[in-house]
Amino acid sequence: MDPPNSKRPCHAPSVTSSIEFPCSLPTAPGFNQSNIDMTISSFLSLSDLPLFSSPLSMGCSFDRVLDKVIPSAVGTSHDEFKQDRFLDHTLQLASLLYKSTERCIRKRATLQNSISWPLLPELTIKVFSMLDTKSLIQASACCTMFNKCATDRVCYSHIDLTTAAKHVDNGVVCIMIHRAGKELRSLKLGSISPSAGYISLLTRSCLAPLTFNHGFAGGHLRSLHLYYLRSMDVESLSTVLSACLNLTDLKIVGFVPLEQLELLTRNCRLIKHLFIEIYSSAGRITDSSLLKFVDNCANLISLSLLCFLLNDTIAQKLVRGFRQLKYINLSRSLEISGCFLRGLGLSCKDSPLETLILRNCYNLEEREVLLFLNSLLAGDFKSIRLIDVSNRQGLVCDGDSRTSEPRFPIEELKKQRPNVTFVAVFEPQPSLLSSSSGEVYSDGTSSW
Amino acid sequence: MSEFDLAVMKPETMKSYIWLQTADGSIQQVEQEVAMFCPMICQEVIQKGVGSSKNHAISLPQRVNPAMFSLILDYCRFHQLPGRSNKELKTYDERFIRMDTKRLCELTSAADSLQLKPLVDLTSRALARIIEGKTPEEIREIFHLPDDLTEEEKLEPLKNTMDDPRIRLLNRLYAKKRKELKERERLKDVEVEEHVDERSVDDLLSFINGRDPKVVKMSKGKKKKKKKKDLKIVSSNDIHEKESHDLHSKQQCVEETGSSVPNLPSAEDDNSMPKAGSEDEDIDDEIDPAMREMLDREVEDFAQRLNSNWVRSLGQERRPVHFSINGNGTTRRRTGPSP
Repeated sequence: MDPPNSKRPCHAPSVTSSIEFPCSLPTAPGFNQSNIDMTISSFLSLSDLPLFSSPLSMGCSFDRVLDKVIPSAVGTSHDEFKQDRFLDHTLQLASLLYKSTERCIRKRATLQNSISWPLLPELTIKVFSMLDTKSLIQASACCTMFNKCATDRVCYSHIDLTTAAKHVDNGVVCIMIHRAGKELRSLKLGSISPSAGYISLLTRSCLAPLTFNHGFAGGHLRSLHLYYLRSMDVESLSTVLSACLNLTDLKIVGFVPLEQLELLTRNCRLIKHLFIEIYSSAGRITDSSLLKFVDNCANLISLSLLCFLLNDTIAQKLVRGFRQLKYINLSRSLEISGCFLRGLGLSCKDSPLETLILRNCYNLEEREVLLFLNSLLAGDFKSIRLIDVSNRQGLVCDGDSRTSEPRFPIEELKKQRPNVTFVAVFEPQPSLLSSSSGEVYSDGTSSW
Repeated sequence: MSEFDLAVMKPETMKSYIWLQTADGSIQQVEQEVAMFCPMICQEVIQKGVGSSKNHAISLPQRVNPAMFSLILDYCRFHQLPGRSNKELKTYDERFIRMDTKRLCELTSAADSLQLKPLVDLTSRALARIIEGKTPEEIREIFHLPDDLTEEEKLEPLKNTMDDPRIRLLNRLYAKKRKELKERERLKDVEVEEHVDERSVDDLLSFINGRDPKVVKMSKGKKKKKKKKDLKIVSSNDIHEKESHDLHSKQQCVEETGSSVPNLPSAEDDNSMPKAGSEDEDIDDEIDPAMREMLDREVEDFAQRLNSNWVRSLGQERRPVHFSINGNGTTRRRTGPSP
């Protein structure tokens, strides 16, 4: 008989009995670890022998050995018990061998990958830092090397969780923020255009990690965009914002009736771009909070307050109060008639205002816009570049009637102020509700 | 590469060449302006004075093989001419990076070793565009990566595997200090901060999202990133979370699981009773005595330092010492004999 073959039958039962607990030392006397290792390696090298090289013959050999366990006659229950145990052990061995081989394959693959991958880890991390958050996570699930590289702080500098809004919850936000550490620069949460059945998994304390360690992460944050986080309320939001001292760009869409602008922006003195849109007209700023708001945010360059209950006095104070304001968007403000534009002319000859957007302001009057345009022709508002008074329902003219074809001196405007774009579209347009599709600010203008 | 240097070199070398030797030993000469576009070559010429003759050729780093080098030279040749418009450069760049991914990776590596930053940025961005929006299988196929993650690891791509026992002990120490501070505060009758909704990193990271595998999942507690001292909070009574936690508890380190109860989002409580005690006991069991001694000594060291800082900070606004223990490696600075 072949030597390996002769070894196997007599060793098989004892091998199984001593390898019941593979990680501990064998209990049977006369067997030490190296013996077992030798036995295992000679078993594994069986497949090299020409007689046993095909799986079919190996299978037959296995069958032959295991069939010995099946008794020809019915034995005692004790025998049956022993046979059961033997077969169980064999199964266990088989699965242990399988798992071990898989582990070995994985280790070898990792090693080969680390040798053959042409980029240094820093370069891989650099590539990852250019990926958006979702792609980053997908990449990190590829192999162990990518997994490790994807944990670097730099990759989480700009966290955008709006693309996977259905699955994002507080834990995810927390981990990402902690991963970013001091590299955190921008954070986007929520769902930009929520579907009808959308329920956010985020609760009101989802941004709490920004306040940890005395606002360590929050202090590095520069830009925060929150979309339709309905469970958020003013207190939790203002707690978070009080930790974000260096915030320059804040955008809140679709939740929280924000009467307390002052409260929100009390600590964010450096804020430059503020965009707040609420889904129902329910936000009236009080005078005192307005004053404080204007005081606090002296650096504001771009202001968008959509769907607020603003009247002309407030609008005027806003435009006058922010000395560096370049972009103002007060669309869908019900009570604005436009007379605030009159008051601006004298004091704002040199105002830096470049963009004025008053879309869909129901009470906007044709007369006021006309006066405003005349003041432009007269030379006011030297920096203005874009004016938009489009309205699905036309402008108010002469009392209660509305007009969709107002008489504006457009030709003259083009001649005298050629770099000014005047937009006044009055046809009913398909839904403009997803206003937050326009994004990035550059020089204070935004594509809305 | 300053103007002065160029000026000095110009009168002597009119249309001169620089000699470069690639990793495979072949030597070639390249026009000076083209070669000088690469900062690394520039440095070698100026600082070491090599490259002027065949015998003193500059040997390029190993990552630059001849094929890549000729590509890089093409790039340099195009870009170093001063009169190019931005549009021209852009179109050239876009055509330039059209190559298969393997070569793109090699090119990135070669450009990096020559310190040619604009080319590194260009190629990295191209690689990022390739990776964007693809599933892991697709990415693996493109880059010929082995699938060497276990099933569990794939489901938890945000797991951080830094599990340094020193960090754990330090956290224990912080926890003790926090407790002491709290005691003193209470005795002094100082008003504790309200709305303390801070959690320890471990507790938070214990959150697991039990939905489909594509979803981002996290595991518990393997990550020990502590930037400054943290206050722990009470676990919230979120039963739903507890269930999902239990489902995945086998995947976690048992000690972490045992110690902190899963808490989760919306902790409405303001009381922060630190659970430091229970965590201490559980962790104690695993560190063998020899290691523990060494670690205890280090911890004592830190304790002394912390003590002095804590005493100072007590009287002031309670801004504790900034100990940046960061999971990504700042601890390497402190490590003595690593285990």
